Amino acid sequence: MVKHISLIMLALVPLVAVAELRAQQRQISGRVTTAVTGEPVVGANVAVVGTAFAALTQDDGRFTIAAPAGDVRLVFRRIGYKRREVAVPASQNTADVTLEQDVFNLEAVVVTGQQTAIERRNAAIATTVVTGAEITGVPAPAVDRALQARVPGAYIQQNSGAPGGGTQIQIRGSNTVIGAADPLFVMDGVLYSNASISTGLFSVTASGNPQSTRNDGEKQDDPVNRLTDVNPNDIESIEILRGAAASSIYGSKGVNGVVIITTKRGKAGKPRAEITQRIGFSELLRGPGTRVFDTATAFAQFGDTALVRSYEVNGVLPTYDHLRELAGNKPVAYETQLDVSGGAGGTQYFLSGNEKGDGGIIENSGAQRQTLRANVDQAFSDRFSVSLNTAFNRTTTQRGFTNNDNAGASVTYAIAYIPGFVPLRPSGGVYPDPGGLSYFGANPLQTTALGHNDETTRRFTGGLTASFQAVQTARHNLKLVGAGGIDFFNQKNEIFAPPELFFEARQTNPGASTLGNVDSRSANWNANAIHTYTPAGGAWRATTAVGVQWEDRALGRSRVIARGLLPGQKNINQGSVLQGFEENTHERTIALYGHEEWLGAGERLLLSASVRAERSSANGDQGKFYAFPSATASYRVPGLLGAGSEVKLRGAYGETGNQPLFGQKFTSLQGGVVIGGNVGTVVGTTAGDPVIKPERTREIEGGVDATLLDGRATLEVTLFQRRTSDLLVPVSPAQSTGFSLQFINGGKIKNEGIEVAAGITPIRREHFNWLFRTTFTSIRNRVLELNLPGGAQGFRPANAGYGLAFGEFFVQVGRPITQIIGTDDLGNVIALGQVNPKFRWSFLNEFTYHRAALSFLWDWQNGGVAQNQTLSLYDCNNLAPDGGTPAGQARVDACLSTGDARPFVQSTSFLKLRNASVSLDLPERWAAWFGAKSARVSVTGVNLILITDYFGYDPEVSNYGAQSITRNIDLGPYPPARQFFFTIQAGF
Amino acid sequence: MKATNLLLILVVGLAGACDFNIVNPNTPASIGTDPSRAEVAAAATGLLIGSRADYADWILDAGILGREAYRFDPADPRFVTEFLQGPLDPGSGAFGGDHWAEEYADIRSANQLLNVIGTASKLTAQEQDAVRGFAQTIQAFDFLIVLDGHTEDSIPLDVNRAVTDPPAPFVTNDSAYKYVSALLDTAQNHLNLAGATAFPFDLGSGFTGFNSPATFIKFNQALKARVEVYRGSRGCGAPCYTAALAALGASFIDSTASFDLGVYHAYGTGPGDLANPLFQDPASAIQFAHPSIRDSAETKPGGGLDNRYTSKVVTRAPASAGTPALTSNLAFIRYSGPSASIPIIRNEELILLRAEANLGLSNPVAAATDINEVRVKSGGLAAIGSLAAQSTPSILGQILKQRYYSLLYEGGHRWIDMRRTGRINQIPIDRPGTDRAPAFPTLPIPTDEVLARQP
Repeated sequence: MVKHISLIMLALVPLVAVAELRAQQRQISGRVTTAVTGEPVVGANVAVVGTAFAALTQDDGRFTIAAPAGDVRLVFRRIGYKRREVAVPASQNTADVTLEQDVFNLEAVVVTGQQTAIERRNAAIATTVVTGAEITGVPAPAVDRALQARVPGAYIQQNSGAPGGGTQIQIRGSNTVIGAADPLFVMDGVLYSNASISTGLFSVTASGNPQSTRNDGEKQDDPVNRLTDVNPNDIESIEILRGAAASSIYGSKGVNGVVIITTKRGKAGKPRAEITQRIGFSELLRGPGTRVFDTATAFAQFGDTALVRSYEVNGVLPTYDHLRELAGNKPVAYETQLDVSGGAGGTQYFLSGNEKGDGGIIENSGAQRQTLRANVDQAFSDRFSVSLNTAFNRTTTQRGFTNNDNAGASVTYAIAYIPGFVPLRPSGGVYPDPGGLSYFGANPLQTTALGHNDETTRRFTGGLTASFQAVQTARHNLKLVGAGGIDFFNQKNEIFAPPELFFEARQTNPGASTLGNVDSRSANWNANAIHTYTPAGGAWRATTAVGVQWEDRALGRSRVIARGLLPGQKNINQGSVLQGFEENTHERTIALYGHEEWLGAGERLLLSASVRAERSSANGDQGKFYAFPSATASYRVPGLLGAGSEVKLRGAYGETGNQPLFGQKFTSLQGGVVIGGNVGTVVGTTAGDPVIKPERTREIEGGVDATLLDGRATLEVTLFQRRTSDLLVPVSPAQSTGFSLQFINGGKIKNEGIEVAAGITPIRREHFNWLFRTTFTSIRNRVLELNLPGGAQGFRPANAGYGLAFGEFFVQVGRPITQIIGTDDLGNVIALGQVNPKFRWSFLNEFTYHRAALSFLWDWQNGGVAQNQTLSLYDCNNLAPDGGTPAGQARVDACLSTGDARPFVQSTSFLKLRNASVSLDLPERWAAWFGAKSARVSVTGVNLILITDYFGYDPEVSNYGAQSITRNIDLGPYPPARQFFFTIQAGF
Repeated sequence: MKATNLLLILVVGLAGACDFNIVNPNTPASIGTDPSRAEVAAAATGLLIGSRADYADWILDAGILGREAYRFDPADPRFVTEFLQGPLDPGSGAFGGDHWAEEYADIRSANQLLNVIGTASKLTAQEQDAVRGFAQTIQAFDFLIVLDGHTEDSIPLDVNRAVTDPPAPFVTNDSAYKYVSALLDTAQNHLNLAGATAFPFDLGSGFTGFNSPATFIKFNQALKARVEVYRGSRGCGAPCYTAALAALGASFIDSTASFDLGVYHAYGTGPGDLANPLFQDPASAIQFAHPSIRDSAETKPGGGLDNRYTSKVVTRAPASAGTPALTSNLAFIRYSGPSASIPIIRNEELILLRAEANLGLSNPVAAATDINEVRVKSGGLAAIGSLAAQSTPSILGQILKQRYYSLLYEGGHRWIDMRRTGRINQIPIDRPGTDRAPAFPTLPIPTDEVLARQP
C-alpha cells in the first residue's frame, strides 16, 4: 500500500515544482449586487475567463481580482443567482455587476469528484441541487422527507408515520438484493452514516424469531434512519448524484447514488443572526375504519350471546372508534432555531443551535432533537486555509409498539382484532380486559399507557479540510486539499413491557425489559491534488485531479432482553430469564483515484474521464484493487432556440459498485450453543464466499438540458440504462454440504428509466410571480439472469412476506425484481404486480404577490403495489368496515378459506398534497419594532391531503424498513399524521 | 512545499497503518490446523449438540409417518395434511425436505474436526484416536438417521469436500448401510488405539457410564448391532445377523441390568441449552398419541394395560384436526420434563435386537427367551409359553410389537421397523380415501439437493 501512495505523491511533486513567470498583471475591482433589491451579493465567485484567476466578493459585495493585461471577460457566479459574464476592456479596471435570482438552480456548481466541481451548465451528468431554503421551507422530521417530490430519479418513501422519521431513499431503482440499499451520504466531506438500527422492539412484539440464523427477527422494528440527526436548518445545499458516471468516483458504495450535503458557512462582515420559531400540531391523516355491529350481526359472527350481550349499553351494541381512541391525539410540535454567522480577519464562523419536538398522535410517543453546530473557516494567507465543521446532536424518540406482532404488543396490530363494541377506555383508572375478543388479551390503550419504546442517540460529526493553493499563475493552478472527518454515534434503546399488561400476563415469563446499545464510529480522510491548466489564449482548460481516500467503519451492537420482571421493576437485572446478543462489524477501504476534465470550444464542450481503484476488507480478496471508470461528454449550444436560450446535449458512461456486506466472505462456526453446561461449536448454516467481490453496475445515460425564454423556462430530460452484474445473491446449496445458505456473485439485473425536471415562470410581473416546477420519474427493471444451482429461475428473498396466500416477493428471471406473487382462488401461483410504480410525478406551484407567497407541492404516484396485510388482519377477523357486505365477505373468504392473495396486494397509486404554505414578509418597520432587520411569518401544512383507493393507512409504508426489494409491506404501521405549523422568522 | 511534505508523510503514515485483514469478531473461525485442546473440546461437544439438533423433530415426524403420534398444530396444518395425506414437499425444510440438513451439518462438523485432529500437537496420539473414534461414531449415527428417513432413495456419503466442489454422488442404500457399518468399525479401531486414555472433553450426562474410550466402544457396538440387524432384515440375512450378535456381545447388553441403561441425548433449560421439545404438558399438548397404541395394547395378567402404555401415554380431553377430522384423547408422558433426556440406544432395544438376530439365524428359542424377558419385565405382561414354536413371521411380529411398545416415541422405530420388514401396509390408515395408503415409506430427497446436481 505504502508503495502505491508514494508513487502517486512522487508523481505530484514535479507539478508542485512548476513555476512559471507571472504574465504582466493588473487588478480589477468592483461590486456585485442583486438585480431587484440592489443588496450586495456576498461570497460570489469571480473569475477571469480563460485563466485560473479567481476571487470571492466580500461582505459589501466588493471584490478585487488579478487579471492579465488586455481585454478580459469576467464571470460572476453565486448559488441562487444566474451566472453572468461581463467584458472588461484593457482600459477599464472596474466592473460593477448585478445578478438575477436563479429560481431553477441552473447555476449551481456540481460535484464531479472528491474535490472538484463544474458549473452546472457544463455538467455532463444529471444532478439535482436542492438549496437549504427549499428544505427548510417546510418542516420535516428529517432531511430526507424534505427532499420528497423534489428529486427526479429518486423514490423517497416513509416507512411509517412514527415521529422521528424512518424513510428510505431509492435512487434509480432497486440495484441489489442483499447488498446495501441506501445512498452514500457525505456531509462536508465526511461520510455520514444513515444506518437504520433495530430498536429491539421485536423482543416484545415477537415479530420475528430472535434465534433466526438469518437475523430477520429484528427487521420489523420500524427504526429511524440516522439522517434524522441532521438539522435541516444548517444545510446550504444538497446535491444528489444519481448516475454511475457521477458516483463512480465513490467506487463500490456509489451504486445507490451519492447525497452530498453542504452546510452553511460564515461570511465576512458584520455578524448576522437569524431566529426561527415554529409551533404547530399533528393529527391523524388516515386509517382503517371501524365495522359497525348490531346485535344480530354480532351474534352471527361471535355466537356467544351472553358475551356479546354483556357489551350492550341500554340494549344496544355501541360502536367505539378504536383508531381515534388510539391515535386521536393532537400533540404540539415546536422548533426553535438560532444561528449566528460572521467573520473578520480571515476567520469566518457559522454557529447554530436548534431545539425541536414533535408529539406523536399516539399517546406517549414523540421525538425530540437538540443540535449544535459550529463551522469555522480560517484563512492563514491567500493560499492556505482551513475549515472546520462540527456538529453535535442528541435525538430522542418514543415510538410505542407498532408494526408486525405475534404477542399482542403492537397497538396498531391489536386493534384489528377488537370489534367496535368492546370498550377500551379506562373506567375508574382501570383498563378493561377485552378478553377473548382481542389479540392475546391486549388492550392497545393500556399498552400505550404503560409500554415504552424509547431511544436516545448522541452523535458527533466533525470534519477538517485544509486547502493549499500551491501554484496560481495565468496558466497553472495547483491546489492541494486534504480533508478528513469522524462520525460517531451512540444509540441506546429501552423497550419496556411491564408484566401487568394483559398480553404480557399471558406469557410464561411476564414482563419484558430490553436494553440495547449501538456504538458506531467511522472515520475517513482524503488527500487530493487538483491541477488546472489553461493555455495562452484560454482556448481550453484542463483539470487533473488525483487523490487517495481511506475509510474505516465499525458498528457494534449489543442487547440484553430480560423476561419475567418483578412487578414495578424495569432494570434488566430484575428479570428471571436473560438473553444476550452482540454483533460487531468492521470494514476498511482505501481508494486511489484520478480524474481528468477538459473544457474547451468556448466553454461549450466538456470531456471528462475518471477512474477509481479500490480495495476493501469487505471483499474476499482484501488485497485486490477493483477499478471503477467513468467517461462523460457534454456540448452546449447557446441561442439555439431563440435569444437567451441554451441547449445542452450530454452523455455519460460510468461504473460503480456495491460492496459485499460485512461477513459475507466468512464461513464461521456457530458458537454459544450448550449441552449440559458444556459450550460447543458447530458449523454455521451459512457458507461465505472467500472470493466474494463487489457488485458492479455499468450505466449509460444521455440527456438534454435546455434553458428557454431567457431563463424563464428550463427542461432537463435524462434517459439511463444500468446493468448490475456480479449481483450478490443468497443461494441454497446442496444441503449435504452441511450448509443451507451460501453467498455468491451470480446474477444480472437491469434498471432503465426516464427522469424529467422542468420549470417555468408563466407570469413574471413586478409584483406578481408564478413559478411552476415539475419532476417526473419512471423506472423499469428486470432480472436478466440468476446463476442459481440447478438453473433455478428465482428465489424468495429474505423478508418476502407472510406466505403465498397473502402475497410474497419473489426474485425471478425475466420479471421485475420487486415482483410480488401469490395464489389466486384456485391455488395457482400468479404474479400480482411489483412495488416499483409506473411513474412518480410532482407539481410545485409558487405564487408571490408583493410580500406574500403561496406554495403547493403535489406528488402523484401511479402504479405499484403493496402487500396490505393491515387489510388482511381486518379481513381475517371479519372486522373491516365493509364486513358483512358481499365485497367484504369475499375478502374474508380469501383469507379464511380460499387462500386468495389478490385482495391483499393493493395498488399504491396516490395523489398527495405534500405541503402547502402561505408566508408574508413583514415590512421592515414592523420587523424593526423588535429590533430585527427582516421578519417573515408563515403558515404551513404538511401531508394535508391524501387521495387513494388504498385501504387503511398510507400506501407509502414499509414494515421491514429500508429495503432494496421487500419494501411496501403494510402490517400495522404507526398511523400517518397531518401537521400544521405557524412560523415566525426574524433576521438580525 | 512544507505543506506538501507534511501531507506526504501523513498519507504514507496512515496508509501504512491499515490492516485490511479484518477477522470475524462475532463467531469463531472454522477449526484450523494444530487446534488447541479447548478448540478440540468445543468441536467435539458441538458434535453432540449438532446431533441433538434434529433428533426430537425426527422422532415426532417419523412418529407421525409411522402413526405413533399426531400433531394438531393450529398454526400449521401440514403435520396432518402433508405427512398423512401428502404429497410430501421436498422443498419444505420443516416437512418433506426435513431430516437431512441438520444431520449433514453435524457430519460436516465432524469432518472439519477429523480433517485437523492429526495435527493437534497438544493432544497425545491416544487422545487423537479417542476423538477420531468419538467423531466417527457420532457421524455414523447421523448418517443412520438420514438413511432411516430416506430408505427408498439413496444418499450422498462422500461429503467431506468444499461447498464449491460438485456435490457428492449418491450411492445406493445398501452401500450406504455398509458404509455406516464400516465407519463404526473404523471408529472402534480408533477407540481401541486410544486404550485407557480419557476423552479430552466432557461427554455430558447423556453418556454416563460410556464416557471413556473403553466404555464408549460399547455404545459404538450397540449402534453397529442396530445397523447390522437393519441390514439383515433388508436382505443381507445371516451374515449380518451374525455380525449383529458379535457386536451385541461387545456392547452393553445385559438382561439383568436396567432396561434404561444406555446412551441418551441430554436436554436442559440453561442458557444456550435446548429444552426437550417432546415434553408437553398433557392438558395443553398439541402432540398426541395415536389411538391405535391404546387399541392394540395388551392387558396384564392382573388386569390393566401394558405398563409401557400406561407409563408413556395418558388420557386427556379429546382434540381434533383435519378434514375429515382426526381425533385423539391421548397425550404422551414419555418425557417427564424439559430436561428429560431422549434415548439414542438402550439396553431394552439391544435385547430385542438380539432376539431378531437370533430369529434371523433360525434360533427361535433364544429369540423367544428375549421377547418374553421384555414382555414380563418391561410390560408386566405374561410370557408367551409356546412362542418359539410359532412361525418365523409370527415371532417377528411379536418382536415388532415389543419394539413398538418398548421404544415408543423414542426414535421413529415403528416407522422404520414396519418398512424394513415389508409391513408398511399394516400401518393404520385413519381416513381411507383421504390419507395416503399405504403410509409414506420414505421422505423425498430435498429440492436443493436435487437442484444442485442438475446440469
